[in-house]
Amino acid sequence: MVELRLPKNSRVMEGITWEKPSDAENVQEVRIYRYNPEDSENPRLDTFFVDLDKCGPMILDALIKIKNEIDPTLTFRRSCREGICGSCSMNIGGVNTLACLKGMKEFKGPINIYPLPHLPVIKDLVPDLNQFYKQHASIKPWLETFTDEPNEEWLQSEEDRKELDGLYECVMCACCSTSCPSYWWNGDKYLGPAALLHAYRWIIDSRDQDRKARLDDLNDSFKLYRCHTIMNCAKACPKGLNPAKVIAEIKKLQLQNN
Amino acid sequence: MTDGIKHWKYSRISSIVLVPLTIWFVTFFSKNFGMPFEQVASSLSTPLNSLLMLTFITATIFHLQQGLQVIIEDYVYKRLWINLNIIFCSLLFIVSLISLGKLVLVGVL
Repeated sequence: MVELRLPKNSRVMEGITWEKPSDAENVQEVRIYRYNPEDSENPRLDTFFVDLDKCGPMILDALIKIKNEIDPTLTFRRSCREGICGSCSMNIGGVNTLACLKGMKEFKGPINIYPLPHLPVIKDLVPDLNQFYKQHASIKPWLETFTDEPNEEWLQSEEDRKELDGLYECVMCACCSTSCPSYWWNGDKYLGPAALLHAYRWIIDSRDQDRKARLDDLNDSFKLYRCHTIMNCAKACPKGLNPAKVIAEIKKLQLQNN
Repeated sequence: MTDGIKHWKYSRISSIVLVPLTIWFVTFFSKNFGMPFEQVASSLSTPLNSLLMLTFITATIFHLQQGLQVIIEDYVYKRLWINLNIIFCSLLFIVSLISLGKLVLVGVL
């Protein structure tokens, strides 16, 4: 169901402005969404100043610097810092992306950093992704086979393997799903672009033997057909994938199937 | 809510059918606009025109019902609204049929 305003206790207030580093020449202003579940206060937007001459080039470098040197209570997820783990997804300058892949030089003026949109916030920049992972699990993200197992691996031709390009690269960062208005309004019933991309990855896999059941399972006006090709998913994906096109491919396969 | 492919397929088929029908309707309507009632009725009552008008009305209202249902599912998702939409579109269809029937009969008699 559509929600046009945040609930009263979720509205973002003006926060603390931290001191500028006194000796720095090249200063970047960063505004970060802060929310602490342990106090009863509304979320707030804190302002930090980062000395760019003593900081790495990426947004994640700035976040780590702020956590190390200014405010150790700042909370965010990060791991690989090179776009492989998908942990540091957040809304930066109004766009969902990975903090480790986004350079600070791409912005002019202050940089606003929020958690991924329309998810419950656990703390600061950490959203609750449980529903997102449950949806991924619901599409059975594994090889389903009914024939006897081969003596060695399940083999696949090079052409069949190529079908998986543009699908297997997904790191499950949730940037696409949380940028999709259909997912905002019906995130409980619509699977969202990420889960559907993974669904297609198994539907199209030449080794998988359960294609028909997978397609039948998605033949639901909410699970799949809430996609109205808004294309925010393709625009947001930090790995340059195109979930919207994949969803269209699933619809085409269903048309053949029926 | 199940069977998404049917809904998706029907709304696409009805939109494709509506492309030539709408062109015909606009041409027909602009030709007859402002003409006396009897003349409109008689041009509508030729077999071809009355059949085209009937198909146009059916496809439009069916497409309307399908489209509104998608909007309701997107933004409100209450079974009540989906049912009200079906009732509304059915009434619209019945009223249109009666009007068309009346016009065609007037043209014939």
